[in-house]
Amino acid sequence: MDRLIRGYREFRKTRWPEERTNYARMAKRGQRPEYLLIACSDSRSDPATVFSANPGELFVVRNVAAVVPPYGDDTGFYGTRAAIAYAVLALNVRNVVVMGHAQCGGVAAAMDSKVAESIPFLREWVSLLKPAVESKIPKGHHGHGHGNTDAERAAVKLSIERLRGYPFIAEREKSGAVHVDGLRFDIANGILEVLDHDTGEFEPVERPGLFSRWFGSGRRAALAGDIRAAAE
Amino acid sequence: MDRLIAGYRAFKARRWPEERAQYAQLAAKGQRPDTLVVACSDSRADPATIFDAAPGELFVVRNVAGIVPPFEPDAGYHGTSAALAFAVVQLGVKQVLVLGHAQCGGIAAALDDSLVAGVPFLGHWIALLDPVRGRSAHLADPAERHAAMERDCVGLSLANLMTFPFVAERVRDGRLALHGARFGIADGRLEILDRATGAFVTVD
Repeated sequence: MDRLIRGYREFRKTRWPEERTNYARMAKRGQRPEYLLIACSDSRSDPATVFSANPGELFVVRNVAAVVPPYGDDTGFYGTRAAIAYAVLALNVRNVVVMGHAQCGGVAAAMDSKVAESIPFLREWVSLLKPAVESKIPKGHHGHGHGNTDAERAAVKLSIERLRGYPFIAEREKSGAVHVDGLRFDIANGILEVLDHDTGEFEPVERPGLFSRWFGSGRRAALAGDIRAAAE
Repeated sequence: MDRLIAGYRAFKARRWPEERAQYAQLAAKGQRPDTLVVACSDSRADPATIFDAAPGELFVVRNVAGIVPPFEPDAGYHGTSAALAFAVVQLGVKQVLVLGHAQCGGIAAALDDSLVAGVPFLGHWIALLDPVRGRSAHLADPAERHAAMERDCVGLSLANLMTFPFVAERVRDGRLALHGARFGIADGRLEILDRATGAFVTVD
């Protein structure tokens, strides 16, 4: 606990003085977050950090691989679905965002059953991603590769598709009361990709610079692949 | 999305230059967090903020009320149990912290059935708290009762953790420690459960 207590003392010293009125107000009035963020439990992909979030801004669900289970029926202790329902129906969030990330162990486990074999509950949980990852599994090859990047993106898209199967989200998306979005955070280079709903592709947040205007995105991707291959 | 993008740009401008080497290393070597935090989804009780965490330090599960369900080895989709197993068995975390907080809406829902009406799934999820529901019933003051239930729920999750064989085994041989805490939103105070006395003690 020592590290945590040290961190807490740092919070008390630096952030608390700046935010105390904000916290006090929110304690009295309740939380009013505009965002529901569904993210992975991974220690390298923290939403409050990546979005420089202030207290009160993000209602956050975190599970292995940022999975949204299908709406299904109303039985069982389904924590993620309860949190989604609470955020949309009780807190009236206006944005529901799914955030995946690079080097995701949950997606890797969904792609290679050997990874999850000895970990109770994990195989069942990541099997929820099967429809997204199945076509991305490279034949006769294991480990992190381009297949994983594609699968991580496909997993975000699957979660978004499933969110749209929640009647209260579909209804609110139609009326414009709720927006649903997808993101992927690349741990190694800090790049955040946003799902373009029109093309179904993930695009980096940064404006394309001179470099990409010269080469175009296809050439850029190919070049990035070449650089990566050279580095390996 | 504008607010998120703006926040991300602030991250890239401020924290990224300081931590990029750390992120690159974490990407190349994989994560090795020491701590699993099970916390509430509430926007006012963010573990990375409260503990001033660096990337790679905290593996975090967040659900409504920060609940750890009991061990249920069926074929159901248990998200929290899967994350717990991943953190303990695969990543080998050294401690699990259950973090509750003041003004918890999940606790309010457990104390007042009318709050779950119209919110699918929530009633079933909150029913996990039934074993401690009556424990604070003798308290007349609603705020006191609410706070007592928040603390009782942290205790319940800690007890539930011990029903997982892979947790109990590691606690017994000293590889894993379990902790409970509660964050007071209004006063920003953290109180830690003293497991010997059962009392929550405020950190100074």
